Amino acid sequence: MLKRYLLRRLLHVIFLLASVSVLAFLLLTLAPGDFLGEAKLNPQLSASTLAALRQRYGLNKSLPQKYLYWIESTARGDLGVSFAYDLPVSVLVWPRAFKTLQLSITALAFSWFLAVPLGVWSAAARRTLPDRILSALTSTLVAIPELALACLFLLVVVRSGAFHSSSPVLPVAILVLGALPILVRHVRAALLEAANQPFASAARANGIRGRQLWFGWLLPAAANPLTSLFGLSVAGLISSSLVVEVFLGWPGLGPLFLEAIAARDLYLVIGPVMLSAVFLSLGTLLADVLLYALDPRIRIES
Amino acid sequence: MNNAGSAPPALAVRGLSKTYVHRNPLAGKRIAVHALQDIDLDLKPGKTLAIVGASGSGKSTLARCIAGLEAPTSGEIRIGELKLSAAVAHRHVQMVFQDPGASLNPRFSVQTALREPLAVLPGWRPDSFNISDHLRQVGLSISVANRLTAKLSGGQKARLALARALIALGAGAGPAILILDESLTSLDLSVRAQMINLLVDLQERRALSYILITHDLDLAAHMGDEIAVMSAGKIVERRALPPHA
Repeated sequence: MLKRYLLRRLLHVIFLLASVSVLAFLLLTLAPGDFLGEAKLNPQLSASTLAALRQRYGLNKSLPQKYLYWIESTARGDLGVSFAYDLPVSVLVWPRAFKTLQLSITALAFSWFLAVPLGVWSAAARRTLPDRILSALTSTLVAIPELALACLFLLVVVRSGAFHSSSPVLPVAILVLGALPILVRHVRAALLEAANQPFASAARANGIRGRQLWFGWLLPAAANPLTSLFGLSVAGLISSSLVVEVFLGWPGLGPLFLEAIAARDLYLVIGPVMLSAVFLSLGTLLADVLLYALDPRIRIES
Repeated sequence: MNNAGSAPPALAVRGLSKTYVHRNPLAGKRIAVHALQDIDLDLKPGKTLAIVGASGSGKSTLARCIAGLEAPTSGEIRIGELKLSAAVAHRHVQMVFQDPGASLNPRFSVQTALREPLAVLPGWRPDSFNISDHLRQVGLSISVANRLTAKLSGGQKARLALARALIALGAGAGPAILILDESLTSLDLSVRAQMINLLVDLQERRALSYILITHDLDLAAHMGDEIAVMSAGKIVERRALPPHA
């Protein structure tokens, strides 16, 4: 049964990736200019040299031809060629993707390990002073953009010299602080909704209270929306990670992606876009499998 | 009210009040809602007290206070000789909720749902539990034991909720009070009739005391030994009902 469920989800993922790649190619080709846009303004390059370069990079090919070339190249594992670096895109993106994943996965783990107990505690202590203080803190953090947080952290670090730029502590801390308040608020809301269900009253009437009630009864009941949120938080953390990397000079996909967009380096833009889409799909796939494992009703329906 | 010379009440409520305070942060005011005001009542073992009244008259708040789910603002609740506490409520008072189906955890199997009241008892072991007896008692077949509660019919859910309440009440000696908070309202007519017969039969066999909260005066007259009418958080009328035919 799990096999069929996974197969169905996998087909969705393949469809999603195909759509993302087509859309990315369309949008990049529709945007005015290309990799040789600036070279045209260089008086030292003759028209024939430009034409030769255009021919070499395949820029004079039609959109379907470019797409087909990319598919072939991806099948070989190259993901196309970077015009600027004159190297296969895969050589450039894989080490950087590893660095991005290092940040995102660490931040994801820390965010959830903190968010679940904090959310449960906050729901159990609802309307008390500590809960109000936590709510005020999370609201403030939600309102602060990650870039502002990154600025603040950078300032502190530069002044104190506490962390080396190759240390992941700073970017991970910024990512966790960005994701944590939203997760805590969702965990709290999902648990309070479960706590208002009649079966929660019945469990209380049966003497189940405190930690046993919150962790054993209400957290599993609140698990469905939270598991879906887990998939979304993967996407959120990866996209935030790209921005934070640029800001803090972390050698992940973010700075490379930005550089590739500025240079209109077609395949080097598509590479990180597709990798982000793959990570996002894997995140939601993981969430679906978790949902399948956690909810007996889904197992039976499928 | 006068119990002199008769069996001690299974439940005695004295001067029970419950006030909810709502804060309006914009106006900076506190609004007090007096859900229960100075309630006195007694319930004898094996008897049924029907409580009727309009919506918002405090019936369910009274039920939740007696079941230990709400802390009263003032007053006293005694179960037999014992003062009400969470542990006493769990062993001696059980509630079948307005929507019995929703009171069952939809992720639980029938077996797990039935074990819920026993999960907190010290020294309790799952192998000491004979599930088929408990299911048979409420007219359910053993074949449903491994099904998810979410997959049962409305009538089966109501019977299961009742079976679970009976297990909790059967775990300790002493008074056994079952609160039926509009528990039969959501059932269709034939299932409702079956449940009423089952409840009457169980009361005779196990000397259960029922608090029947209902809007249905015919049901109150059919099952009740005494009827109390509530309005605006007070019991405004109480009278004994003629013995059942």
